[in-house]
Amino acid sequence: MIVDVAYYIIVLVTLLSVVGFVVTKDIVRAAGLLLVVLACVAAAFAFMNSLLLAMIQLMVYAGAVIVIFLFGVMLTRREAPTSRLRQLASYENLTYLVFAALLFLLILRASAGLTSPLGYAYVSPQLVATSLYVQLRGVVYALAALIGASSIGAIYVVRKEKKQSDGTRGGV
Amino acid sequence: MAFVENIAILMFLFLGGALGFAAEFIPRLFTKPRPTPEKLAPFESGEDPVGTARIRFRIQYYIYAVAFVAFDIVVALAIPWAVGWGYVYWTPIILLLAVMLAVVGYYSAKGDLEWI
Amino acid sequence: MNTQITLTGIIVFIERNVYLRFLLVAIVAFIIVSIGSLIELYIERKFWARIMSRYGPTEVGKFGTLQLIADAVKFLVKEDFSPAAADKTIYNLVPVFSVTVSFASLLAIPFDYTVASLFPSSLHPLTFVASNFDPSLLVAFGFFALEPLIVLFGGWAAGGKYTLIGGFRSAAQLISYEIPLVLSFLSVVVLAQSLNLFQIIQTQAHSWPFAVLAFPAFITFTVALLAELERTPFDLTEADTELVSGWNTEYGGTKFLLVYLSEYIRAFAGSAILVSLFLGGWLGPAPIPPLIWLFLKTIIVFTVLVWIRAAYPRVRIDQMLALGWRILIPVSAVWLILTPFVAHVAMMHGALA
Repeated sequence: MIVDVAYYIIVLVTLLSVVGFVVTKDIVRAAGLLLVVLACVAAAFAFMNSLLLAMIQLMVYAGAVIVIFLFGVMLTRREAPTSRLRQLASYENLTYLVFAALLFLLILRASAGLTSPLGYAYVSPQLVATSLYVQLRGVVYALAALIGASSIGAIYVVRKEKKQSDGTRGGV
Repeated sequence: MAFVENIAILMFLFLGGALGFAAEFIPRLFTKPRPTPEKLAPFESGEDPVGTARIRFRIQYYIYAVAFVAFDIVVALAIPWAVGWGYVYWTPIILLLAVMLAVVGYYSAKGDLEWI
Repeated sequence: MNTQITLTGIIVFIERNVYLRFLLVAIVAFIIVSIGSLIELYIERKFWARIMSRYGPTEVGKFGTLQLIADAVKFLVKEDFSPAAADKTIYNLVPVFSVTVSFASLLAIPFDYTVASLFPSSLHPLTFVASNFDPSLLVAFGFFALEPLIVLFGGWAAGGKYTLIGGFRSAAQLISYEIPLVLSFLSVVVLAQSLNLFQIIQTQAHSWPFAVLAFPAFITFTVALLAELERTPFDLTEADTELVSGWNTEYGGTKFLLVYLSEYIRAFAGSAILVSLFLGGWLGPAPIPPLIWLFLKTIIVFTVLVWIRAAYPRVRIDQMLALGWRILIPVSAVWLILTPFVAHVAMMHGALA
């Protein structure tokens, strides 16, 4: 019983943070709310009896992806041209509309079958090992290639930015 | 396997949060804030603060963050292998770690990990 | 006699309710970590003051015991303030989150088992154990890995230049050493073939300590842990001469108390995880209760960390990053792949069960 209540509290917190994430004007607060959303997703995984996945979600998404967001936000805190800002502001209402539609669809889907998170079979690390490294090992090969390619690609972007910022703008 | 460990995590988070919240907000009831402009100014070694605090940082930090996210995925994938190495294929994980080491080698050969 | 009966009644009542049971476990963990942090603080201040020939922590009260009380009273009666430039909501919530997350990482450390085994065996010892579940090591680490965010949000929200620079440096350091930290504890996981810290300790009962079997991992884990706990030689994040106090410069009064407390909880949890992974946890040769063994080993590991802190100079930021990325990551990754062979050889010679 308490578990169900806790689960729905987490769902509510997720939804509220998502709304806050879209609405807030402060970009660092938005990152904070995104962190809450990702941590709540980790909690949902835990409720579905897969603690391994929950902790990897906490490690990789909440722990690492938000760091890259924050670094990106804080590194590029420069004034955008006003014309660009105005152009972005015109998309604002469209964003809210799309967001409201998605939220409505989500609530519609949830109200069709609002079930308890309990009752999922326990996913052991051994099970994950077999499925990842025996059945789905092709996916892991693809992932390895993707990680290598994206690391090399990212460094080119960073180098370009570094060359541009050399001499013109300082940094600590 | 049972579901009980989630309840344990819930209880630890609850107790830690409750204690932290109490420790931060209860003493406030007994102290009276007497703010002065000097007290609320950020510490800059006794000087008057210059400019905004939200300064720009060098792009160098970003490289570490990018490499960290990529390697964190490698490490997360290595966790199941470390449990089941006795009965699964090793080639995927060797490839993953080799890619990681190759990226580290490439970055340091090109001087991208250099802190200047 | 009467009190005896009611006490048993209470215990039975708590035993039947899973929420109350784990709340009790959490309270026990809190008491243990409080005592541990106090001892840590006492050792650190006194040991440090001795090594550096400073007065104060060695002189106040008998054996310097009153210094801690003086500090605590000072923190609690201090006026509460938020800097004008701060983002008030995040600024005030960061200390609470910090202490919550640090405390949650204690869950995986089997202190509850060692306490439960002190009680008569009429009580089933495993009923009150919350730490014996499968990826318990990962749970501890998952909460441990949230620190860069706390540091970044805390440094940004306080609205000072020193806090923001300190936060950035902390985050860069923490993320640089997280990869080698995980890769080195994974080689222990390879040896024990389990992500359960409880089971890892039990495996060491029938084998050599993993500090011997996985010696390179032990070294890389210790170095990475030193960096994750932001202690000298890796305390660039609060390099006093450059950054005042790092990301927590603008935190005062009880907020600083919470930040400081969570730092010590992390240090305690980190030392206890190191002890459980590599040094056999609660196991020990003499017939001393497991609780004493685990606690004593943790405090000794912590004292060694303090010793290193007092004896070594701070490294430069480029040296710190180069060590993390160019040495620790390759060494721990290569050792991780070699560990199964070591495990195989050790099993043949009876060094690993």
